Amino acid sequence: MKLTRCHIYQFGKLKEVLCEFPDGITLIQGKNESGKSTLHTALAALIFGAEKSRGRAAKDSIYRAGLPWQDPQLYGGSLSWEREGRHFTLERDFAKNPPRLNVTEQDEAGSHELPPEQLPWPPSFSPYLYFNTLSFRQQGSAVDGHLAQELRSHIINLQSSGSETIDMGAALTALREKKREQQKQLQPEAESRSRQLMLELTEAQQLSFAGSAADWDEDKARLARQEEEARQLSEERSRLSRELKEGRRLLEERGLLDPEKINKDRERAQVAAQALENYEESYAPSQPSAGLIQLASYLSLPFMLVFFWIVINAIQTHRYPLAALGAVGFFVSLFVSIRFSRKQDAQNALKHNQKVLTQLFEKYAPHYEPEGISEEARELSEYLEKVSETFRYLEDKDEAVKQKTETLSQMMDENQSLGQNLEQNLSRRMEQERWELKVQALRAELDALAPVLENNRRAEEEIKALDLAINTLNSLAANAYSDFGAPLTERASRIFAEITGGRYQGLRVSNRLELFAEQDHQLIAPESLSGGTLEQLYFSFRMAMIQLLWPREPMPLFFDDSFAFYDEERLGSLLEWLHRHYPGQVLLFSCQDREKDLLEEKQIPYHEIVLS
Amino acid sequence: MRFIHTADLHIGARPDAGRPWAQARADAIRHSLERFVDLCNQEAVDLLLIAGDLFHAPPTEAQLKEADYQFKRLAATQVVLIAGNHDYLRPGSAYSEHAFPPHVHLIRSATPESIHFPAWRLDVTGFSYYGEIRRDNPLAGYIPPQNGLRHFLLLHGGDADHVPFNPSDFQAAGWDYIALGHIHKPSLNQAGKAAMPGSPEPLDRTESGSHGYYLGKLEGQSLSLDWRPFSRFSYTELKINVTPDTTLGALENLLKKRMKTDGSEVYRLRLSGRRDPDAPLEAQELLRLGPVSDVLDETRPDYPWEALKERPRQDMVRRVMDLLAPAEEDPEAPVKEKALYYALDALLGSEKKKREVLR
Repeated sequence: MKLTRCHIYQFGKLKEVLCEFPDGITLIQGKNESGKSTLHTALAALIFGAEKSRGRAAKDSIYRAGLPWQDPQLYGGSLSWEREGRHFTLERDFAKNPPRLNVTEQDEAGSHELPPEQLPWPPSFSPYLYFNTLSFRQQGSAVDGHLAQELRSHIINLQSSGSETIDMGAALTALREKKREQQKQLQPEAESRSRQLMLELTEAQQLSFAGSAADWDEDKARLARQEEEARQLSEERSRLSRELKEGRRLLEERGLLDPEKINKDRERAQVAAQALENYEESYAPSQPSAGLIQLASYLSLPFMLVFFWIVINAIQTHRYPLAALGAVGFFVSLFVSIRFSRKQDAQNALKHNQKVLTQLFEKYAPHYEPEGISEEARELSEYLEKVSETFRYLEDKDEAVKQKTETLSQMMDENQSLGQNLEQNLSRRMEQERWELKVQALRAELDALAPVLENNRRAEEEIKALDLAINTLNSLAANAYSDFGAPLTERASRIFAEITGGRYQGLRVSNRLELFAEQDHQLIAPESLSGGTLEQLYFSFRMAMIQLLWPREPMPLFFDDSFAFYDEERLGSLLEWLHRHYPGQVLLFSCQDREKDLLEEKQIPYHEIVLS
Repeated sequence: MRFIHTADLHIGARPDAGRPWAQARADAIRHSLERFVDLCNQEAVDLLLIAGDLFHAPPTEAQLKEADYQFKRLAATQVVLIAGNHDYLRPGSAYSEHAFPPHVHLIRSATPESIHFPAWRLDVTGFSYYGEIRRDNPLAGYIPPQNGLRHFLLLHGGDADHVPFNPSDFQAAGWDYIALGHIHKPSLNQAGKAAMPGSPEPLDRTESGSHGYYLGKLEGQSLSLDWRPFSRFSYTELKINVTPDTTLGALENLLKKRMKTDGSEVYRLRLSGRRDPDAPLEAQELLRLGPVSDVLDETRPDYPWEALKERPRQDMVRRVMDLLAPAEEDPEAPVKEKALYYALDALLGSEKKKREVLR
């Protein structure tokens, strides 16, 4: 692209300025305040437009900077340029709101209007890139911090067959916005809730099965059985104890209290019965009466003595027959004596026994008057035997009651513990039933969550696709940039080495477009460089970018008093470099003669426009 | 001998919670047993077979009481049922302890056990679940006794976690009929001796198609099966083809004509075809149309594909197309396709926007 002429109607202090721009280097000279910078700004305004407080702040400031000092109605101008053999002219009227733009093309047939939306600029000819590459200002040629991002987008578009239509940043922003929309659809709390529910469900299921209650029914039946047994036992015991009580009462009523005494009495009665029986058998009732027996026993002793004396006498007098007779008499009286004394004993015993019998009857059957015979004694003995048996029976019963009481108490203890067990089991079972209900409730909640989770899955799939799209575009952009980055660094390095006369071997560019100078294999940060070297560094970088951005189309350069930091030597080699290597127009806006002197000295051809 | 074979009634299930038709759905499921009892009485059915999952979860006393009430209305039908993976038994649970009326036979055993019906010279064998999962097959190696009786098998399961089996496993065993349950979609094996009736009512929106039961007849050695629709409610998938010219209003009108409004159907809409990439349909708006459970948008943007392919190789759009071209049998193909549409949408959108800005 080549600028051919411009006509400023009114722009800031400028009024009716007309310039022709030839090829090569053009020195635009003027004293301070003569309007060189204003012309520089006016050119930018004509190229990119300027709107009142709309659009970018930069444009706004251009608009303000360009407001005519005298006649605001003529705020504007026209610019002509040549591109690929075609000639174009645009005219801007900033006084209108919105500003008016008129584009025409001139060919052999004359001039015809172009639709203003199709300004025939070269690709990537954006204000942003213009101010960061082609246009060097007084403030220095450092590049804007946002350049990295902007450049990236432009590089991507350049790679994209040079069509400047794709806006990678906007595309990525749109995708991220879509991703945010999908993320808004996500209900992550449903996920965590469902995980929580699954955990609870597992737990509830385990608890609803924990410790099978299978034994419960068996234990329940056993308890029922044992309780029935205990009840029967208790009934039996009551019956026994009633009987025992009744028996004891009956015995007591008859004064039968002491089984031991009764036993002794029974023995006595038995003894008496035996004795009486013996007596009755030995001494029939026909035998001599007691008095006779007594008399006989009393008399027998004297007889014995008389016979004894007779015997002794007869033996002494040898009257042996008498002696024999006396001996017979003696033995007879001895026999009688023994016989009768025995009988007396028996009678005494009889009396005794009868007395015993009477006593016993008095004791046990006071209304009965015993005759004193053995039969009575036997009956009494039998009666007492029966009483004793009753006592023994009651004792057994008592023992049984005691035993039953003990068994019962054991059984009750056992039943109690079984009951407690059952109660525990029952509560465990109720617990299990509660857990079962919990399982059902959890299931219902999970069922209700299912559609939400399904939506989440769907949104997640969209997000996955969006992430893939974003990553793909990002990696394409990164590749495009790395494709671009290496030659950029290489070119810039070469230029930097050239214009520093080999003092620096090159420069490095970081991903974020931070620059470092390279000297003796060391990287030097910009803040450590002198002002002049720093300017050379940025110049080199800009030149490399320009070559890469517009490789086939030489673009005009604008230097607006940008060499303040350059010494003579540096400026000289820079001008020389531009003359030798830069194919496009170079517009030097200058208020000093330094540039002119150096151009003359180095015999570099140039044109001159003088602003007055 | 006439019998009805059903399974998976899932009484107590409440699908589509929160949707307008949820209550109608729950009611239809709750009333299904009642309707089977009426059917048995009307059709003079001798035997009602329920192959598991009569209930959606182990039933409560109240649910059992209600079931008893319905069973007692049966005029002359015997019932055989087993517990499935949803309404599994547990020692001491209400279901396990419940005493059904004498004509209702719940096979409580976890291993095959038979109920004898001397009148029909029939044995019905089955077993119940005691948990949600059963990975063994208690029928492995089980052969019904050769006692001159006919043998029916009630069997719930068929997937890896629920008594894995293959219907052909049983052909050699000599069952006269295998009444299956668990899968909610009806199917019949080739020999016609094993049948999965499916759930009588659909239980979620993916269970489209008809739902019913089998009515069987056993005469001598011949068994005939008749599948009968039952459900009062169905999920229907509507496939709609979209062109770039289709508008939301046009779709709404089309659907209004095709959808039943009596509440017996809920629709799942599947949109396919080509959509206008610059003015995509707000398809999810169709959810407000009434009985629409979900809208699956499978349309593809109608880009000028040929023109896009003409772009130079290094063009960003071309590069994206090349990078995201789904390879054959790529499991990520659907995601890639979506990503391609998203990327193209964004790139071409930015292009369009930039042109607008330049104007």
